[in-house]
Amino acid sequence: MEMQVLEKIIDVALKNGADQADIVVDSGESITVKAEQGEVSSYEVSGSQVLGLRVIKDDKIGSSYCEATDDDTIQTLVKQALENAKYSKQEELEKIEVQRSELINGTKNFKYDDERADPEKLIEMALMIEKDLMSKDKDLKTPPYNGVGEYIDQSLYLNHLGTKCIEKSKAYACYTAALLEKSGKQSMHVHQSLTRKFNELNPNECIDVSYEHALGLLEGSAIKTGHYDIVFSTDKLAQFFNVFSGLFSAKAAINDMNPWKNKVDTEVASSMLTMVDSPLLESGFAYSMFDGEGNMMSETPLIKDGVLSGFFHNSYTAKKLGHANSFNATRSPKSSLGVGGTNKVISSVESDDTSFDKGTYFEIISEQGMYSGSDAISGDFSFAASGYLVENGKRVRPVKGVTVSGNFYKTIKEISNIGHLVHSNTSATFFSPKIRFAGLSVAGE
Amino acid sequence: MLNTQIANDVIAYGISLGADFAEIFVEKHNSTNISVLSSKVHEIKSGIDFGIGIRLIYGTKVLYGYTNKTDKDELLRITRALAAQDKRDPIATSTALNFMKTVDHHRASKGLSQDEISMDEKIQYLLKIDAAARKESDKISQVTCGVLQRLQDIEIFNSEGLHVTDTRNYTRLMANAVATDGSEQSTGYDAPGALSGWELVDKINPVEMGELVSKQALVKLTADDCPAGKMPVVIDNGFGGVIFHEACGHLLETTSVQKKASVFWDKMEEDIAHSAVSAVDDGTMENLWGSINIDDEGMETKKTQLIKDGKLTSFLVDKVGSMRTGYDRTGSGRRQSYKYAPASRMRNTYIEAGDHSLDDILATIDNGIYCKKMGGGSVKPGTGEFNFSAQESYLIKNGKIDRPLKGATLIGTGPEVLKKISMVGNNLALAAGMCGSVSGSIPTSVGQAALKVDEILVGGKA
Repeated sequence: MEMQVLEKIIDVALKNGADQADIVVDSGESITVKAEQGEVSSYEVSGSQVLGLRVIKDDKIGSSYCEATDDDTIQTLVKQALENAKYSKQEELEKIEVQRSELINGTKNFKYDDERADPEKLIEMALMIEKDLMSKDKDLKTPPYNGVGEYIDQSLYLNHLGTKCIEKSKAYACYTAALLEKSGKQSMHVHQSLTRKFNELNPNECIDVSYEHALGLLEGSAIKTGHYDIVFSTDKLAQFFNVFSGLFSAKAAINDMNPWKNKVDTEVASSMLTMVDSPLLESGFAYSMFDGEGNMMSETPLIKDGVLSGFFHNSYTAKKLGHANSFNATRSPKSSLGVGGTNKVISSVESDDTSFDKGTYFEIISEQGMYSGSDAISGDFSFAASGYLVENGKRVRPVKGVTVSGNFYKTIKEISNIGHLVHSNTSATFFSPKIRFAGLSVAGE
Repeated sequence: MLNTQIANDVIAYGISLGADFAEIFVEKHNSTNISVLSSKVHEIKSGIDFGIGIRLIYGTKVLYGYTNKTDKDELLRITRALAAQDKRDPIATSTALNFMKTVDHHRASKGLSQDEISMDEKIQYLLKIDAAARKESDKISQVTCGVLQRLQDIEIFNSEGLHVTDTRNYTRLMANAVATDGSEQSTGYDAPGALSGWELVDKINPVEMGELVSKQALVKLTADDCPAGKMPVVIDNGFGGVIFHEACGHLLETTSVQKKASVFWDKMEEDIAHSAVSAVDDGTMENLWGSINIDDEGMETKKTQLIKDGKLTSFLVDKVGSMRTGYDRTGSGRRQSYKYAPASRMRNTYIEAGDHSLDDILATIDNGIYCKKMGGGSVKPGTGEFNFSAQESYLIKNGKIDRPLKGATLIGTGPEVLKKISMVGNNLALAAGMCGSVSGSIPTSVGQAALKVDEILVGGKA
């Protein structure tokens, strides 16, 4: 969308009585292909944009969004935002105040170029993944998920003070699900490859990893009920921390929805744990140069040697709590001003992984119900898990049909070891060595 | 919303490129969301979604694209891009569009388009929920509540001559309470909704809703850890139906049946459940959250008997599902928005009532779990393996409800559990939820009467 059109919308808002105004626009294009039984089952082409307007009038905030940009819709957008502001509470600390004359362009060569994949190649790859996967084992069923996609995204921010920011990114993904059925037993595992360039996609890894775990877990059974050390795969570890990510939210603290509200500078985790949010990490797919208020982003320390360093802040939460702004404002066209992180990075501790693997632990590869079975306030969690029992670094038996339960606040204090090599989750937004949580409750046989 | 001549031209163009079927789905969607936090208006958000989806079908291959623009050139461009790999000489012909008026079975008197209810009245209603929740105990440390209202206008054109429109009004309330006692915290939650306007609140007492969520949070504050292991479980009515929805309902959609990814794909007319179980998916229930007049492919919706006395009697079938499986369509083709191609999806899905009272059912269990209200969960579509948490649960001891429990999760597979449901109660109720799947997140109701599962794995503290 043209900057001039957006500037005009801001002008209309100001002329209609807004004291301050800003706009975020998210737009995207994508091509996705799904293959099934040797044929393309779905081919989708999309182009969309959504525009969100925030106005402040008499210290009251109103917001609205639209997807069409004809004159009538724009008039309605402005009218709705101002109408909504009338009924909002007064909030003197929320201001639109970032003023910068130069355009911030976060579109970097490593995350975006104008090259596009040939749709024929996307189709070819989707068909190839299914065919090569199915050739691995006669007992594999048609994969319920199997496809390739190209995704282009653009974020744009501007405000009434002239601040303008733009950022484009491009991503390619391919994925498949190995669904294995043998002797009345079923097992399924999904794996994805995500890259910035089409020719860097790794379909063979998707095939090999999905098949490896579908096969590996097929004969899985419950282990005896008891307490076991737990090691999550990096994907599942990322998910585990994400369930409780509200603990780093200053907004949740202000709203009395964050049990760590008064814990800054106190010990909340094992002294082995150090974690930061790293928006400018080039290998991270959550790379972002500016936040939802148009501020330049930088690294935010979260936990240092087990001590809570601080929260994700925007300008409002920082003023409200009397902390420094960490420039972690989030805002999408359909949501109001919030806070949030980007790429999470956990520091390694061991000099190598040898001592990490001593003894026995339960390696979790797959889970069900981690989000729904967790209470982000009480910290209690309970979810079904499958994976492998590992003895001295070797997978000795597949495990299925067990539940893992505990309390997050206690669990992150009882870390028995953190490894050396840093791994990335498949979404490339979470970077961590292996972490071994001590003695969690596992209900099985 | 879209000029009929443009629609006609785009469909004719799709057919001229060799498609067997061409369809245009136009959607305009207004929404308003009011939320209250800390006994004050937290935020009010409004918005308008608008877009057009184009679907071409070659054989059973689905090509789908969408845009926010309405001009003919853009729609022809999308159509051309979709057909680029498959274009061939025309095979099908398109039939002249014939506008059909939809009969509205779910009238809304206070929807967003005719909204005579002031913003202030809605805010006052929410503040009553907030006040009632806080009054329940001084241990209630936070309350959030809100209302989401939506007005969805759709218009569908296809190469079979269909031209139809529909308007859907949705209203959903939400309340969440946090109870705190020292370092212990817990939450309670409720979110009733209907395919109606603001008149939904005539059926919901805000004081009772506030008290309900606070009581849930307070009960959990004093709850013991749930025991773990295999045991009998009673799942009560309403949201308890989420397990059937997730672990069985999805396996009855042709979306998975057509891929043979469902364990039920070849079980039509066979016993797949205990004879106590009969289940229905009904899109026609008046003003219910998951109801529709027509589905998102333009077909009038129906009531579908899925299971009768344990025997599989029907799948949920959309257009492509019908082409791929041979079963008749059931008016179940649904999508979140113009951004999704339609797929077979549930509407209001429930296990029909039986004869037993809740007390009768509890009396048959010496040691087990009573799940009064289920929370969320997940299921693996290929295998039907599920995991659901109980939002409110109690120990059953010697046929009676004993102390409250926390951290209870139920684990199993849909097909297995269906055969272990041995008693179904007489207190049928349905509850509103959002269902996520291949065609996005859509409003659905889940439901059942209280029922007994003879044995299921309960995940709690070992």
